Amino acid sequence: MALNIERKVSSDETVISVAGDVDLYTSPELRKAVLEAVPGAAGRVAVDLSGVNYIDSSGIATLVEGLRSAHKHDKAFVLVTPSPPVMQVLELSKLDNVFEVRTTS
Amino acid sequence: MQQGYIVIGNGEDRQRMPVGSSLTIGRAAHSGFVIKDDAASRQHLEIRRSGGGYVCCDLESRNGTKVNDERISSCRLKDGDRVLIGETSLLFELSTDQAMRVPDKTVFLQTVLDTAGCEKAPPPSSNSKELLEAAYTLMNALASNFNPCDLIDRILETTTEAIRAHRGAVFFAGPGDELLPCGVCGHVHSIENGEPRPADVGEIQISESVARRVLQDGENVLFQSGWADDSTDLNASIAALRLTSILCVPIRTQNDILGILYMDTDIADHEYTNDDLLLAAAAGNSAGLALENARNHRALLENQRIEQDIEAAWTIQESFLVSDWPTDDRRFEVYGMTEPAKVVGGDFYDFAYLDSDRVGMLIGDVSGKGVPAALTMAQLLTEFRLSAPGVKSPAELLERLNEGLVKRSLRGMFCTVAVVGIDLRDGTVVAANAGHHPVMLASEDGIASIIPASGPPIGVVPGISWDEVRMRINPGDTLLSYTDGIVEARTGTQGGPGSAVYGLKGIERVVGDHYPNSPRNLINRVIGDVHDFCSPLSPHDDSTMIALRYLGKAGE
Repeated sequence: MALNIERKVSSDETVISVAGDVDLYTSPELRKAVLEAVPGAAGRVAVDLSGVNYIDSSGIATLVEGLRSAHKHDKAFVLVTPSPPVMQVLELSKLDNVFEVRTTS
Repeated sequence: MQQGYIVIGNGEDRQRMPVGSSLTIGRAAHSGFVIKDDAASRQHLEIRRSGGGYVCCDLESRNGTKVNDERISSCRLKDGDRVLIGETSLLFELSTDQAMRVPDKTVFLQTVLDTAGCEKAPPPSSNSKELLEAAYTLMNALASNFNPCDLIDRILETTTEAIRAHRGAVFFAGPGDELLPCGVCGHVHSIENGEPRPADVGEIQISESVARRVLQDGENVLFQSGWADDSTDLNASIAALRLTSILCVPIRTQNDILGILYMDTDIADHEYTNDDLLLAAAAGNSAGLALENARNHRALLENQRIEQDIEAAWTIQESFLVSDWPTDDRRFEVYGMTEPAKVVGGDFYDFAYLDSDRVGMLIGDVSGKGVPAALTMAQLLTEFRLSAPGVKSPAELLERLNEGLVKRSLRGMFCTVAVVGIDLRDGTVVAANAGHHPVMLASEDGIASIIPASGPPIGVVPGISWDEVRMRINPGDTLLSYTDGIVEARTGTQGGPGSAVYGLKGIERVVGDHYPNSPRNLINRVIGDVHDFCSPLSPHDDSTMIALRYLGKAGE
């Protein structure tokens, strides 16, 4: 299933909304979107994961890379309303403490 | 730039066909130039522009091609050359004459109009035929080319030449209708007086109102200097640049506008016509479709590349994983295996003696798939084997592996790991878990999940530590670890009807039913059960497990 990625820019936040399955084949698209957004973002970078049905480890790795890139550029990096399957992965792997997770958008 | 033509016949039968950037000649109906000659092959000859002139290549035809009575496979063509294909003689002409004469047959008309999205034919004008030819040449060039940069250059070359634009450029639409260079080569493809020239975004200025009209409204914009228009910035920019006309059309796909095809001219008495606009619009439409094809083509190649990668990854994985399990120590039994899926992941497991009375096992899963994941797995296993005998505890081992991986990790790569150490004298277990699934304990009392992750996977955050779990297990108890491939195994396709997940419950059921069996037996049963569960499909991720059964200090 293809990924649908939308970017919304406001003065204090760049929101990247992702919908679909984030896996080995689609995570390069997410990676491109996130890494392009980080350097020029006016405020924090938020990745909205409410529309993600499935995420595998390459998808999580993309989010880790986004987090690192944001820190390098002195920007906050937030995961917004992860869907239940995504939240489950984050909790199981204890990555919910590594990422800032916002449950309301 | 000089134009090449193929001329056939004499007097009233004389036909003259422009070569454009390339032209195939043969018997086949889809040839650029069809010749009715049984001695010619279906695809006989190609003539194409090259280095300011033209070359011809015989397409391995049955009867060959002669140029000026000499048999050739390929050669440069000059003005007046006689080309013999089968029994048909063609004359090659070079001309700077812009007024092209064309064969009367314009069978391509319908296609061009369809592509341009026109409902009615454009009003006849002096140059409509040459524009149609250009459109035909363009579509020929686009149909078989999957290199996006080549495609764009061909589009610019053909279109600017046909409508006599002194300059042309292609921009791509970014977020907020920002104009971006080509994503593949990083430059704006542009052409000036027939010469391709990679440019920067700022070098070619496009009025904002034009860009907006093209990108947002999908309009084809033709603007002549001096026209009344509410977009004053347009008149000003036209005047500033001493342009007489600009022409700007969207590059469309079925559902989207990818960017802009822009052309302008500073020739004083040349103004663009409606036909020019139609050709440009057709070029924009064809370009969008061709670029989309190129993108799909690349995606296909990328998928193939990933799959080849995966074979190499499996070789690495196989050569690094333990295959000789100790069988002569009566204090425990241990076994592990991985069942590779079509897409090999970075699953791994290992077992080692820490000293004569203590053993350690670990299981892990490197994020991602293929060679990078397999190489990371190999590095981690090497590090584990080197450092395991020297470290005091599982937590210390995780800290060491973490420091190494944080430094090396590219592209956010990380690894979940569970490490378990067992003292064979009394069944003391010391374990730590970095982001991995909990360990399963199978005992007479049933099945329990123990040792949950006490921190994130390794490779993510530098300088952290993990809490340890300490406990005792009894003789006969079995510790089992597994990876995602087992718990996430599913029937049907993700999100499809009737799709279900194997889950922890699946493992618990099989292990519970066969509890006192050996680790090897339990693992074979679980992995067999996962296969049955997924059937008729194969599991999409590696199925990996390791288990250790403690038998007591002297195997009592």
